[in-house]
Amino acid sequence: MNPTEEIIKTALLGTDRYVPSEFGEIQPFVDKLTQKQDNKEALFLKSSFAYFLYTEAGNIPPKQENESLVCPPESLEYLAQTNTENLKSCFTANDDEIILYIIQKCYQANKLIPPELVIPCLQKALSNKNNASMFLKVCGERGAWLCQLNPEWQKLTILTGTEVISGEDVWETGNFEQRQTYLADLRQRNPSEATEKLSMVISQENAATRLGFLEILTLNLSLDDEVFLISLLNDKSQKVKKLVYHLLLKIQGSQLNALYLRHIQKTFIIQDKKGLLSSKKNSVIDKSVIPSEEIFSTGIDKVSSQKGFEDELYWFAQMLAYIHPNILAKETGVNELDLLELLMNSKEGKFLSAYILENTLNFEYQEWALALISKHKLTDIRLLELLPSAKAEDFYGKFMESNMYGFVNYLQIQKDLFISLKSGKEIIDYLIKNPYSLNKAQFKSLALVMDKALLPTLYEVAQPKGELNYQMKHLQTNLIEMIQTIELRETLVF
Amino acid sequence: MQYTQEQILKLAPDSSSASAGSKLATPAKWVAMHAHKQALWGDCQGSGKNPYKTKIDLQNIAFKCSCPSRKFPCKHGLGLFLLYAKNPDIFSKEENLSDEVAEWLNKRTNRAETTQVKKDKPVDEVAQQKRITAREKKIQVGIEELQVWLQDVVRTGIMNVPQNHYQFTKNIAARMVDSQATGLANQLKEINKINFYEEGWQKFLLKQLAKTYTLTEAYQNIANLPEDLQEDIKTLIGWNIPKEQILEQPAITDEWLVLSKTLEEENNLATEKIWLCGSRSKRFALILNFYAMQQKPSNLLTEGLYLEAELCFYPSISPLRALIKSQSDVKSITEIAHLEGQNIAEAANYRSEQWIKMPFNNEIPLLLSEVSLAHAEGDWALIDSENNYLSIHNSAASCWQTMAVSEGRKFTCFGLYQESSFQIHSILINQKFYFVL
Repeated sequence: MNPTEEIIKTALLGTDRYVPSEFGEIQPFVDKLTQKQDNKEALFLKSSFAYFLYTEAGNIPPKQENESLVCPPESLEYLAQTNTENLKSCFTANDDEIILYIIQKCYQANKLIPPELVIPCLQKALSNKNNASMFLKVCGERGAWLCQLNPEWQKLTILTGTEVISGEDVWETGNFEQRQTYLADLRQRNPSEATEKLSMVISQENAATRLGFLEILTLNLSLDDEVFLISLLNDKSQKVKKLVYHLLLKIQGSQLNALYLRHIQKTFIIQDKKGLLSSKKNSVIDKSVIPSEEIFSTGIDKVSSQKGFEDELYWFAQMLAYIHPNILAKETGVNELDLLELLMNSKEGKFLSAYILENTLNFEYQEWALALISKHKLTDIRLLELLPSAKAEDFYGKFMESNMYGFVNYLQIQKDLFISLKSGKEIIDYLIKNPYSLNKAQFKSLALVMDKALLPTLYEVAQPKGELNYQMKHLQTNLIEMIQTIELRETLVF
Repeated sequence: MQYTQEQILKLAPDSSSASAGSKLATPAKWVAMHAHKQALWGDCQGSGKNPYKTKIDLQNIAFKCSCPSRKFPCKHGLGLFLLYAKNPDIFSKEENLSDEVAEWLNKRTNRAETTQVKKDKPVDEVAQQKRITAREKKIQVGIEELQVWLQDVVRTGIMNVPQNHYQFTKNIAARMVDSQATGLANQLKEINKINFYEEGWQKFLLKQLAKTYTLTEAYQNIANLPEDLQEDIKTLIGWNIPKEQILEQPAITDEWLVLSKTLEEENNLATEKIWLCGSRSKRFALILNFYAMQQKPSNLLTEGLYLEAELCFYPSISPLRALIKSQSDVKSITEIAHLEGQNIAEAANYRSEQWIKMPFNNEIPLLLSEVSLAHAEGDWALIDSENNYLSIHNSAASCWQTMAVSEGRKFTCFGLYQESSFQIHSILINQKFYFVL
């Protein structure tokens, strides 16, 4: 037993039961202490202190070869000092909206964040999976290097697909997100190869994975996918089955879609109504035609739950949602926009509008989207997403009134969106009347895409004006944050 | 005054104040903003009828605000300072201080002078001696009691201590406070920091018990010790030297770099430790500040600042603790060219020398140069050019931050040697200074 073990043993058992036999190299010193005739406890305490001090002070640092783990040099430039200062302040204040904005800009400008912010940025990447690759990219070589060293951050390389493994390996050994990314990429480049790959493994996957993979088939969906999709009609999962039907029905010319089209052809008639000077077209839906059982097996609801919405019309409406406007126009001999008007203005229009909207969204049909917003006052935010941003801006006021929350969410997902002074003023006017329609983060997100020419208006509204009610105080506080955000955005240089 | 936004935010008492201060750093919130070479002042429109009047002393950083906040600095002070750091041009430049600001600055100067006057008051030496003798008696009684307790502990063994470690030193530490030997009470409280669920607690506990016992004997034999060491021992027992007496000592004027600033809280008492290093004198200094609950920190230094100041050191065999006698300027330098440090072997020698001089030394400040960070299976260490190895006990987050800024390359670092390992506080690499603790 070495002296340290002897001393510890004595301490544990107590000097009444055990006394250390030796104190190693300091024994001569302990012998001197013994001459002082202290009691054995005092002697033990002093000798132990001397022993620990002696061993620690005499400790020669051990030698160890250091494996050279040096980060590869960076090839990109760092952010400018002012941006760095602002980004640091945002991390201190945990200002997620502005952090994301600066990181986005930094990513677009091919710049790097400063070394001291790499760790907070990697942590943000872990909690923000959708933007993880962007967060990782702005960390540069340093971020990638740290991810190799820390198992916690290694997930990021998998998540962002920056892990160095071949495409085939990803498909066979990757996790769900990696495989999904791989499949989506392949579907974009080579749709039939993606279907083939999926067909080979789909039976071995669980329901959630099957659903996730099949959703990717929406990309470049065509008649070539029909055989594969038909083979999945007996899937055990109701959710998967529903999606398969939806996809098959969306394919114009598929067997199921043809069933729908045939029923529409039988029931939907355009009549010329002759007047004194001109003739007027009129749409008629023949409700006496009953769909076949085959049609009902595709998931069509049999009974309408809406008051006044006849079941026959309900069946027609559900099928209408899956026939492309171009085909409908061809079948009826009326152009797409006129056809929309005929349907919307018909006596059944109020019941059909929801299914016309579904049709527009299914086929991302811009002309109908524009007409539905401008002429028929539909304010489903998904319609706005179908329009180019310059065109969409004309309808901001309308969408704000009906659904401000959804409208701001729409703004947040738009790429390179910029709100003009005119629209900005409209938004501020709306907020003055409805200050609680947005949360703090949404006020900030709005500010990030607003024209700086709006600053004088914001200053004017935010200016303290004597005693205010709590609503105005709330608005002022948020407008000041908007001002600050716009001003900060303007100081950023990329 | 060249504070960066980051340094200003570090002055905030907590993260919510930092966040609230940032939100006020916009001209929209300020009715008036004035800048003078000595001070900044402005009126901030808060929730009340009248705007809050905020002032900042730029010479000797200090804040004053008419708001009712108990935080110091308050969000208005931080907001005004941040706004000035971001956009000084929007402040109206003043040749003269406003009456209110001039009065406040004068009061601050007068307060310093009042302290001077207080110091000049004659001391009743007889009464003072009486008090010292009475306290000495109490301490001696306390020491005897502590020695008996320590001997009892080792006689019966420490095996069962972990079962009731929360109560282990409670009574005897309280007795030391009653005996006016607060230093000894602190030594005993160190035992509470031991992790009794981790292997090795036996050694740490015995070391602390043995050290405390030896300290009591050193105090009993104090007359035989060198004069400077006597001061160290007395301080460790709990004797304080009045600040006025320290400030009478010859001061060392230097440009002091703030290497580290930490705040530890225990039982409603916060201890702020600011480590400095003199650019010319190459010596370390430790500024210790204590704040009771709700007390406002008075020192507004942050890491990486240079402070031109006169420091007076407490008497010690290796003086470290100091008081700022006067300061003339605070500078924030973005690039630090060089800090001279030691390699690990030299540092080990220096550490041993310090223990020879003062065996009860708990923390030894070290500046290590040309070291790199090594990481294997959760253990972190520093390795120098000669492959000398020094284990470190920073948190994992702090180690990764160090790794990120150092890129695995060699750097200079400041830290403290405590309990057989080293703790990095700040590093210097590529002429940039980072606080990583």
